[in-house]
Amino acid sequence: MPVERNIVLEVDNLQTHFSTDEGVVRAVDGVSFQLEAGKTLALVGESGSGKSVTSLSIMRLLQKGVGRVAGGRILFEGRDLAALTEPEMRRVRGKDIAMVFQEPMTSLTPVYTVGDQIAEAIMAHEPISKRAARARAVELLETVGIPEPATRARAYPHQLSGGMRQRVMIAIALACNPKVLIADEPTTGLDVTIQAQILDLMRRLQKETGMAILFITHDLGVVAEMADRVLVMYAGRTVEEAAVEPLFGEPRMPYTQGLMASIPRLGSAPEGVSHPRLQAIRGNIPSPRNLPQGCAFHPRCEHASPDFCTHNVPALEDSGMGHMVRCARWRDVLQTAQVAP
Amino acid sequence: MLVFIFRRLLGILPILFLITLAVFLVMQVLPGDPALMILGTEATPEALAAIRERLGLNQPLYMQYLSWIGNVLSGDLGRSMVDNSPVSRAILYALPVTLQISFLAILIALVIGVPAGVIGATRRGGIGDTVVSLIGFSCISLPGFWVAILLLYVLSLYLGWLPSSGFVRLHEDWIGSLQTSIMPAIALGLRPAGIFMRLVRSSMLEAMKSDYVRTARAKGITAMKVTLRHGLRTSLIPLLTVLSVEFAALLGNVVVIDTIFGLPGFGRLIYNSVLRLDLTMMQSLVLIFAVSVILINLLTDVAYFILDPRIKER
Ligand SMILES: Nc1ncnc2c1ncn2[C@@H]1O[C@H](COP(=O)(O)OP(=O)(O)OP(=O)(O)O)[C@@H](O)[C@H]1O
Ligand SMILES: [Mg+2]
Repeated sequence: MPVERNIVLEVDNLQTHFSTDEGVVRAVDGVSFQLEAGKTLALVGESGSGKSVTSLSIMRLLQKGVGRVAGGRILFEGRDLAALTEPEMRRVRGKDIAMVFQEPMTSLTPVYTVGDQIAEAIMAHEPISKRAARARAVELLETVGIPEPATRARAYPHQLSGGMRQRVMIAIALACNPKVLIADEPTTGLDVTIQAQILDLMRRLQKETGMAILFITHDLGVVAEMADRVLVMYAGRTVEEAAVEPLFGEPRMPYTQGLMASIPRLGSAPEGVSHPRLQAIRGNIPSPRNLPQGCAFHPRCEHASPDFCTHNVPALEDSGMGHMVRCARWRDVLQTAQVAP
Repeated sequence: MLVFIFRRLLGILPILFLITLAVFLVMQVLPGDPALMILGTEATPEALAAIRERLGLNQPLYMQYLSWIGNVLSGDLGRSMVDNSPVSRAILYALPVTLQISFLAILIALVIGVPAGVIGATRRGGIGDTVVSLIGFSCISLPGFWVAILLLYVLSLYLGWLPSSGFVRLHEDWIGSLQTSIMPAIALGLRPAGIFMRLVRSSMLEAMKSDYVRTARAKGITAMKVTLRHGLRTSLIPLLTVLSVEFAALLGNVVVIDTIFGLPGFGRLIYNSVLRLDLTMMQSLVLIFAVSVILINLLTDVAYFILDPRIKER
């Protein structure tokens, strides 16, 4: 008996291609997921696995002429964003779906005050005077926990720290009460204390507004804190997707297990040092230009069988209770994991 | 703001000192005895001595320098060695002509160059971009005198729309004034137009790829606002640097343009003073050019200050 779910965003078999000098790159190849109101879905994977490209595809912000959504549907409250005209899509951006980017230091225009940049986001979607928009901007700065918001609203980006700028970015994203917030590694580059504050802020805002969050990160430690569901990406594909507890309790795809093994134990990272980038799995993520035959992960996989995994791309299958795995040998993998201490 | 300008002015003083010193010394080193030049070779030694006394030529160099500076500061640039008329009057007569032509030229360059650069950047790789690049390239490579002659031939001699030479002053008849200055201004402004075009195109392309433009797009503001408010606005800062350099370069080109269009501007003064070896005139002209370049730089700094909030910190 399925529980009533309020799905705001559904991505169905997304294909994103880049045309490059060396041919077409399939940066995202058949990713699907559903995002529920008030819930957080985490998108994890190593650098280059296609997380940012997925989020930019949803927002339709791919660099024109280079990247394009080549297939699949992106349904926001049932409307296919991939089929909207550009002016229609413009009205969705910032209003229905807002985004916080990876680089707080360079993501604000240097020549305008942060108050004006927030006000601009409000005025893009609401018929409101500049004065009223500025007043709202100050309120938003207060909401995201910036002290002396009225003064700070008149500051230029270079006068604020990285953490403050990321709060401003969040204020911009919240300006029109979006139903979906996409946060692409919102805390990379910030130190641990600030990181924790930003994450707290996002959780609090989610509780207050009921928005859904698509949370993109390298950092599985953060995922455990933030997410309800987790989608693990590898080389442009989903390799495992499950609710947080089963995923952390019983990862079924060797890649996910590798990622888990690379989380620094609690307290192992010295105070003030952020989690290192994931790198514990031997080998490198393959270039999407030149994917290996068969399962894209097999060259790095301890469980790979020479006959099957090197020739066949495994399907994404339900291994029970909606725990999705893309691995031909997940049953064996699970057994070895249980046998091992 | 005022403090900023004041500090800049203070910084300019030593530069001004060096420039005046250089101008003064160069004129001393130039061959030719001014006394002989004024009176001619048949002058009696007594007459030569008298005029040296009057011009202060037998005083020590530093005294000559100081009295020259004193005079310049009080607006007296000396008298022409050719006809003994005050140099400042000739300069005040020529200055408005050159100012009007140069400002018009820069205006034309901006009005053509900036929008064309924006079109080139936003239609990257398309027909618009190709056309803009082609025009930009031509503007830069065609020599000003050639454009001037072409304009003269087509617009004055062939079509008869515009007078071919002479200058009407703004306060006398502004339409006539525009008619006499438009061709010289185009001839002068085409090169900077091409340069602005290319600069705006390349810095806009850079800006449009930046993270903050992505943020602006993610807000859902219109593509036009993204391009102008975020892409173009930040590109104005590098444009400013080039603008001031081009303005200075333009002042150097007025000799040719004044000659071709028969304008009573600075170019003509330079030309005549060199031909007649009018040292006082040359000295003053060099000084005025140097001061104008400094002034342009000062204005540029003030404009930076207004356009780029990051400068206030320093
Ligand atoms: N502009 C582009 N042109 C060509 N290929 C691109 C472009 N942008 C991304 N790609 C391809 O898409 C792949 C995925 O990139 P993406 O930025 O989504 O990775 P990511 O998972 O966000 O990594 P990170 O953790 O470093 O942010 C890259 O490996 C690259 O090959
Ligand atoms: Mg990324």
